[in-house]
Amino acid sequence: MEGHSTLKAFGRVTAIVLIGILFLFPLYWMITMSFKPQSEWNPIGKTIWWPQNPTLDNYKQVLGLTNQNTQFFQASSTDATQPIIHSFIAAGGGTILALVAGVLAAYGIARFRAGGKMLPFQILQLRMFPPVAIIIPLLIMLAYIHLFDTFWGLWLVYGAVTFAFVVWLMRSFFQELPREIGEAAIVDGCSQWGAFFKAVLPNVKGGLAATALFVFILNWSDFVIALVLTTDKTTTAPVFLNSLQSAAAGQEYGPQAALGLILILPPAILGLAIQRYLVRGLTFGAIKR
Amino acid sequence: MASIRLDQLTKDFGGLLAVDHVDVEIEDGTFLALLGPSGCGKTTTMNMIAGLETPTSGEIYFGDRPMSRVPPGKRSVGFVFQNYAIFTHMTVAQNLSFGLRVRKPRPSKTEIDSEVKRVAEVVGLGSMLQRKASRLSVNDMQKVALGRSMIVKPSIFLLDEPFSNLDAAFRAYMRAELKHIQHEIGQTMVYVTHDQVEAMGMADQIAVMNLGELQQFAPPLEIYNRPSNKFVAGFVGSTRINFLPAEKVAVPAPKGTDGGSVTLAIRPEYIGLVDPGSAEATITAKVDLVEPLGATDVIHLSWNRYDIRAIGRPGARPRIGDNIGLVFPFRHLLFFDDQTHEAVNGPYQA
Repeated sequence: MEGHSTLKAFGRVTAIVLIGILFLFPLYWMITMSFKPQSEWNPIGKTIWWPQNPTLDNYKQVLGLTNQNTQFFQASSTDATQPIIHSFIAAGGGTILALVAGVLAAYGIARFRAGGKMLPFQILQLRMFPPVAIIIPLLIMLAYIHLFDTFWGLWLVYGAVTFAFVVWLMRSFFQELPREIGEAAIVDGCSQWGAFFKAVLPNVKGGLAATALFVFILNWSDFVIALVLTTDKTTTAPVFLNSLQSAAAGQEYGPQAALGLILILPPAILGLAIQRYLVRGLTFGAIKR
Repeated sequence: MASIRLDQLTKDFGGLLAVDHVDVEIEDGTFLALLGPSGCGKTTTMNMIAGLETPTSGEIYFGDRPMSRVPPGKRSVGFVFQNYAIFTHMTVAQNLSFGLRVRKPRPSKTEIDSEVKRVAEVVGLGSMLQRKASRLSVNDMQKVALGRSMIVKPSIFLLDEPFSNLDAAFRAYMRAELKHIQHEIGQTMVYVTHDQVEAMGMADQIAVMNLGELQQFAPPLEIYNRPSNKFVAGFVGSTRINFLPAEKVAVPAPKGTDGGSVTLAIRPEYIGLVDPGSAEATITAKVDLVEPLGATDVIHLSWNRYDIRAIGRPGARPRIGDNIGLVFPFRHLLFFDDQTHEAVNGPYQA
């Protein structure tokens, strides 16, 4: 029996390590790549596992800290600060829009059964289309109303695309909350809106934080929508990352990796900041109290 | 303070008649209990009184004023919910003052503070005003709920099974406290419960409901001694009342509708216990089980396939398997029509 359970433990640890390697390897590769000089990016016939001449040039380049390109002739800008700011504005605005509409819709559905039994599924169905399938019609529509390559255009599309997530996540939080919370506030003299903002919403703030982060990450990491709906005025960071290539160097792996790492930071920092709510928020709906 | 009148009050949830033409009228200062099994419509009735549900038809009057178009916050009611419904993101003090803070015009801060202190003393939360409500024990949460509804000085207090989640000792304590408060300030209270002991012990008037219909509306002792139908007789009483077919028992019984059969009912504590062969005995039954409760014993007996419960004294406890004679005093017998289940004029005398 003793030997048997040791074997089992060994098998379990091995599985954890293998799966861990599988998932962490791309991150490892991206981190090391971001510190490699151009000569080590993709040398023919060699694999470089660790930067031999570590450099911060890739970071300096994407953050616009070097004025002139020291490595090769560059036709387009490699400075990613503008796209990063665009990404914040686009993802943040889209998230706020989705939250405002989604939270209210979720409360209506959870508490007043607004729209009948099927409405939540009809909303969910919005997510069944792959973005690629609707992106061309969206492009045409936005062009018609002069919202192509504008933040309003991105906000509307991001808001609409992530609306379903907000509704579904928040609906379960509202359903978990005893309806008496809102009713108690109403009996005490609040209006329906007052009860919602003063009593109901503060009680689901953990879920709200988790939902906001989740939606922000979705919008932040979007590539396809921004690729099609923006050109230069509102280019977002992922689209910009893809454009980091040149005739001389081909794919600019170093700056791409550096920018990729920078783009991981905001969701990671936000996640840590609201961690207290996050664990509760994400497990909230899963536990029957 | 206000009297309450429910006039043909009805709530229809899309084909489900939750409350069916209920008429109840209580005077100012009355403690009314809405008693019934779960799903009987008592909470829906309560929600309509509070304004959380709109009646499908019928009307609610506070005094002479029809209320169904008055929003909940303007009805001057205090509501205590079964699951407390306290705001866990606030402190105890913030919870207590909530009703005052959302009021327009908003009272001054010193006014609010002194009210919070006063109410906290009444419900026994004086020492924990600054504590987060989410950190309270269940018992203290219910005190917060009670205090929060008291602070607005409502003219009517509505309590929806407020103590059913509390442990037995604290429940008894709170029951006594509530009765005390009610007695002291003469507050009109409506108390929803499925626990007939609570209703009997606290209420001035009891409205027994079942399946949305009002079964009987009367003071506790009348409900207990003169139940209007078989449901009320069976639902009220901590040891269940005994039902037996009247024709099998040698007692003079009235006739039912169209001369039909009737059921005889007798409360366990009215059954006299005598020796099996005694001439007084109405029937002789066999002892199945004895439940000692301390002050009394509940004796389970069987007679002709019928279960009978009687109350005995611990000093004269029969043994299982013994035969004993049961005396059914004529004046305590109740009779119910087997077709309508309504009470048939029996010989009951108080």
